[in-house]
Amino acid sequence: MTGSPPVVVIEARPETVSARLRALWQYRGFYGFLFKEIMNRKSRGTLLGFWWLILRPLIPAVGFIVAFTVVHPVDNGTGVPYPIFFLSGFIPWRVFQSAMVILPRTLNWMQGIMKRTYFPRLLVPLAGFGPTFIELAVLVLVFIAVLAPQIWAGTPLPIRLRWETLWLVPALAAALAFALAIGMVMSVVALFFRDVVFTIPYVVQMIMFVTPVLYPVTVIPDAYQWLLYALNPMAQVIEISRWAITGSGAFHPVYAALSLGTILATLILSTAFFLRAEVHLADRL
Amino acid sequence: MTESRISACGVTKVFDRREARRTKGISTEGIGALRTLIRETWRTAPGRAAVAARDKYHTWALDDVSFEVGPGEVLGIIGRNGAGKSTLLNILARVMHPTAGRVVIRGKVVSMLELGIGFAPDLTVRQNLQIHGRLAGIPARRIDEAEDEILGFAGLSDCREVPLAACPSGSAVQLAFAAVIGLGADVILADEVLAVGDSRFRHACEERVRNAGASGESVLFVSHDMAAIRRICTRVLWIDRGRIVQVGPTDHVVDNYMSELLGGKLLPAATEDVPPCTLLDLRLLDAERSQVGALQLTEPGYIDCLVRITSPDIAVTVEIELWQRRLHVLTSVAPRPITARSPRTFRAGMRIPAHFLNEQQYQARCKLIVTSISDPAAPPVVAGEQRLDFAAMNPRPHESVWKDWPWGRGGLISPRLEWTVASP
Repeated sequence: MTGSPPVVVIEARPETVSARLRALWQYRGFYGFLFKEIMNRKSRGTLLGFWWLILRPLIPAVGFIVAFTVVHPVDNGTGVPYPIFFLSGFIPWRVFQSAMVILPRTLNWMQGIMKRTYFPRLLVPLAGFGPTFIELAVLVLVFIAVLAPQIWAGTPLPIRLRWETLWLVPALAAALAFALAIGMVMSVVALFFRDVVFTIPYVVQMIMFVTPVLYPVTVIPDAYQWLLYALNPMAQVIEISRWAITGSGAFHPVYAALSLGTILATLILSTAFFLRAEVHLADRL
Repeated sequence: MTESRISACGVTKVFDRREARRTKGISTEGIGALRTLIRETWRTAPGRAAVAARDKYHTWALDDVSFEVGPGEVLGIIGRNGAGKSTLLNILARVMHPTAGRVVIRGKVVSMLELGIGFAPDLTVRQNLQIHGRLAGIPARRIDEAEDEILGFAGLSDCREVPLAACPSGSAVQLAFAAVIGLGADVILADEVLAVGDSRFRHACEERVRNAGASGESVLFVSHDMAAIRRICTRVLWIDRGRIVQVGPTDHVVDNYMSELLGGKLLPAATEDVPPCTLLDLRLLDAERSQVGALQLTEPGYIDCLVRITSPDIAVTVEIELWQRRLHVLTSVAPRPITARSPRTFRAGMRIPAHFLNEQQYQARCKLIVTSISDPAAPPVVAGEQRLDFAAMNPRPHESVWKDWPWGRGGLISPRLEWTVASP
């Protein structure tokens, strides 16, 4: 034995938040393991296995693009070709949607391990982002594929790369953070009611229709736009991303601050709840 | 002076079952449990309200348990089924959180509860060992160094590059145990797991645990197998209904425990209402009728319950079910109800023939069905219910069903049936 042995103190009083966050780092070895387990779990019992992770974002992306360019062309009023207009909003949306579908299930999936060993439970929802990252990569490839003909021909691209494009990073981070915030709480609730696991995909799908993903936000009368932004933080996230990529989204500093603030507050509250609740979870497994 | 490895002080665990009720067929258990969780989550002073509550809605799995384990000590934990032994182990392994109290553990802890976590049947034995070590936070270099010794101890030196699924079934447990021991630990939390695996391996494990003292490791060993406890423990802690009854030298405490248990003196505290009948304990016995943790398939065994009857007016029927995970294997009901003129303790045992069960994990569920003698029209009541998990295993590896069939032999039971083969 080298060095002083570790000392573990188990007390009824919950540990401090900083001690918990340190434990996250200490047990980082579990992250990769849980990540892999969740990925396996996702494709278990399917014929296509891993390929589903690629097909799942691909089907709606191609479907919506074909529907609104070939079947029923729509004018999005920004001058940007529809596929680019759509994908620039759909990428952050899909990141949010996919995480929202998977995260609530993760604690249920990992019950067996949680019953047998200690590790910070927060690693479970964090490891649940695995499939989401793959979907993100797939959509980025689709985006490049859509631009490919123009790159090939050397014609000007319908996107505007500039410093403001970096806003894409906070937009994607906000989509992930919001999904994590809701997903953490829902994963705890799902231990008691698995019903939420089946309900959430439909709810998220419906929220998509009140989020300017398929259509520009301008189709909503100006007088009601504030209501959309106030109630749906994802609306402004989508618009930031669209503005960052194409330069034509409805980026409002006030609404952006409001939305990002709401997301941050939700994340802090639900992390606090999760850290408090995690020690009691084993009693119900 | 040497510091103790584990010092537990006033450890208490209360399960809140207040709202675990059902209404009209729909399980509303979830709502209540969730409400309890939220209540506990909101409370800043931990467990204050829960500690005060001693009613039928709160189960006191552990009640003010304090003990110390020094370096090199092998502490056995004994007690009836449901006495709180596994809850204690779960708290020390940090799977469960105590309601009150404080535990300080000095040194690296490995818990046998986590045996085999991260094992993937399609990977080779060596790869599995690597993954296991990495989860335990051990650098790859040290795993490589210890590899030969670990595989030798597990008896898997020849199977280094063989997928785990193709090794005999006990291999996973043997490998995991060997890894836990071989990768170094200061505190080992062991349970009935020492009872599985083939007999050569079991002897090696016991030998290893007994020698732990020499290398300064501390072992906490929870078992129903009194013979094993006597063989390896230096000291024994006896808990009953969540409280420590006695701590002391192994033979002394085990003798006391056995005589009290079989004498039926373990009764509910005098302050409580004495129920007309109680299920004192549910045990697994081997062919010699001594309590064990795993059933040897080559010999018959017994599922044995201790029933205390205090009312002359009741007839008690004992019913035992065997389950395999979520599959109901069988139900067996005692042929005659038990009655008692004066308060007495009975032993009702169900014999499991040799070569009857399969090599699997089973759960025995015992129920007491009480009918009134003076009022035959009254509906029967289920008085006590207990569950006992146990493994059924073949002590002779060369006869094991896993020997020639790497995929094992499925099925709820595996009796030896007669076959005829003839050409028509």
